[in-house]
Amino acid sequence: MSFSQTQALIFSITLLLVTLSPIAQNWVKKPKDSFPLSYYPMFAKKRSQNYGLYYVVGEDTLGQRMKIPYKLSGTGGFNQVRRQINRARKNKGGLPFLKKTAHTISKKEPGLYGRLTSLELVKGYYSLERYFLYNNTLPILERKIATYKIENDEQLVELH
Amino acid sequence: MNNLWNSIKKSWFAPVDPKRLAILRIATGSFCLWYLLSRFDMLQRMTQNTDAFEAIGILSWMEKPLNEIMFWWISIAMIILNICYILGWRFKLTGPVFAISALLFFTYRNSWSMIYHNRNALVLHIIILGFVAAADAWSVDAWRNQQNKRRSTDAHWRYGWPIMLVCAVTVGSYFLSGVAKIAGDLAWEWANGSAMRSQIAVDAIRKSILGAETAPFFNVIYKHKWLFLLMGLFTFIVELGAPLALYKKRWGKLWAFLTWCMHWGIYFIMGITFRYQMTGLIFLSFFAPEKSFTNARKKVANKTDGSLAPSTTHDLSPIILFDGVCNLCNGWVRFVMRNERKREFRFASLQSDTAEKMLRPFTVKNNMGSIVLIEGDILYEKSEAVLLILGKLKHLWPMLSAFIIVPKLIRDSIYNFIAKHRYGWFGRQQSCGLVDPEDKVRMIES
Repeated sequence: MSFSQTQALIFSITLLLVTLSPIAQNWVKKPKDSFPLSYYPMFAKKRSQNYGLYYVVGEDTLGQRMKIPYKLSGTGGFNQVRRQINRARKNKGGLPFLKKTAHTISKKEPGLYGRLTSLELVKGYYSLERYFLYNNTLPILERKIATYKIENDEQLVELH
Repeated sequence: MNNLWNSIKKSWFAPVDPKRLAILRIATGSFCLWYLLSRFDMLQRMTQNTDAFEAIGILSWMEKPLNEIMFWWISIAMIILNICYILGWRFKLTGPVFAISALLFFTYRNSWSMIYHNRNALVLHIIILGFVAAADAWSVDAWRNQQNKRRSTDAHWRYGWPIMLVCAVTVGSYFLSGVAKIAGDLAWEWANGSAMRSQIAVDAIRKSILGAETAPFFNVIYKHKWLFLLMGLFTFIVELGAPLALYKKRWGKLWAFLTWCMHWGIYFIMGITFRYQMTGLIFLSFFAPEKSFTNARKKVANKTDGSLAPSTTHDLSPIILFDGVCNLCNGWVRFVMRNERKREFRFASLQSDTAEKMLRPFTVKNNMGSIVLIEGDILYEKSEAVLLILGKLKHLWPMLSAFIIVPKLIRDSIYNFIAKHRYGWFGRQQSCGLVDPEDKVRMIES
């Protein structure tokens, strides 16, 4: 494509202004990120020393609890699945999400699925300093959002 | 004010070698193609999770995702368009079509609950390159134009401004990131490192709890608070100081290097792989990568030196100097003679007085170990000479000249290896082996 210098200048200035336009999102009440025009909000949020996050916990026949890896909980990359877990509770308290996770585990990890008795969607709160400086990996608090029971194809559902 | 405007205009429209723009086209296209191929299955799986669909950007109007089969075909079409973009085939059409398709495709890909900011720059770069003359060199179109002598490929402002724009867009995205940090809740806490430390810890705990791979160096550095002070300051300088990279070329290169280091730092500390950034492809526009393929190796004759051979001063047709006693070299010369498009080459053996005279104005030694191509006042050696000669032959041989994109170190290592063993493998003669009367006509040695 051939541009005259004037056309090239107009094209350049327009594209630059468009690229920089998301800067306004920093000062609006409800900022909205987009693609490919972003205001790059990552790492700009204040974090407290205790951090809460959603995840899935499985309980086996011996009563042992294990965290279910993100790859068994959703589709896409790590952060994408993390967001899917965060939003799960908004859809019928998270039960359809747990059901889907159980289905994925049965397909990808049948051995693990055979041992599981239930899946829980929880929100755990952790002290960052304790977790990383003192290797204390237990949550300060773990709140159950939803439980999905896996028992001989008979699925009992409990909402918290 | 006028002076400022003129100097901006002068640097924005500075003449640049079209090969630089071509390298950006090939680099962005290759990265995008790698992404499409390596993520093909994942993307198909991802789009089956219709619950997670939340259209953003230019696709905000979409209420439902596309059906799986349609997305599969779109992915295939993207790959085909991507290949056309890399090859520079009918670029006036395929360039803009691919640019728009990439915008739509990546917006759609980011409409599944998470925006991946590391693709923003790639898409913006492709949008710029797809709409400009990025296929005037190292492309199918350029090869066709060369055959028809339609367009010269000398340095021109038409290749300069898109590169400046790519640089400006890159710089702009980092600047925006810096502004978001100041304008956000953390504000200047970022500069003292405490904000960065807590951000990194949050990222690490997410990965630890959700079973993702954690960063290699996180545990080592988390306890050293002072390190975060340095890293916080460094991040601020790199992001908020980004616009300075446009002021001077040297500053641009330094900024690109520092930002590249920052991304590797992010990888080691947070385990986040910004591939377009970490490979350095995002920063290519701040450098002159084409020089590592051509300029660095060409040697220009000293025009004040009166010792140029008459044949080079009066006739500008290319001259090939070769080792006349080497069977491989003689075979190569016969091959060139048989496959020339226009019988334009002339030849002389490196052992001849003519060759010695011709090489005198150039800063090269006649060591018999390299084939030499002289075009006007420019001399090419070794693999570059071979590839440029191949570019002037008929049939499909010019396609091999695309290997010019392989770094010189690798190409010349292969060349040197063959050159070193050429007598052992192919034999040698006592004198120049080109004795056919037909061949001798093309020889210019005395």
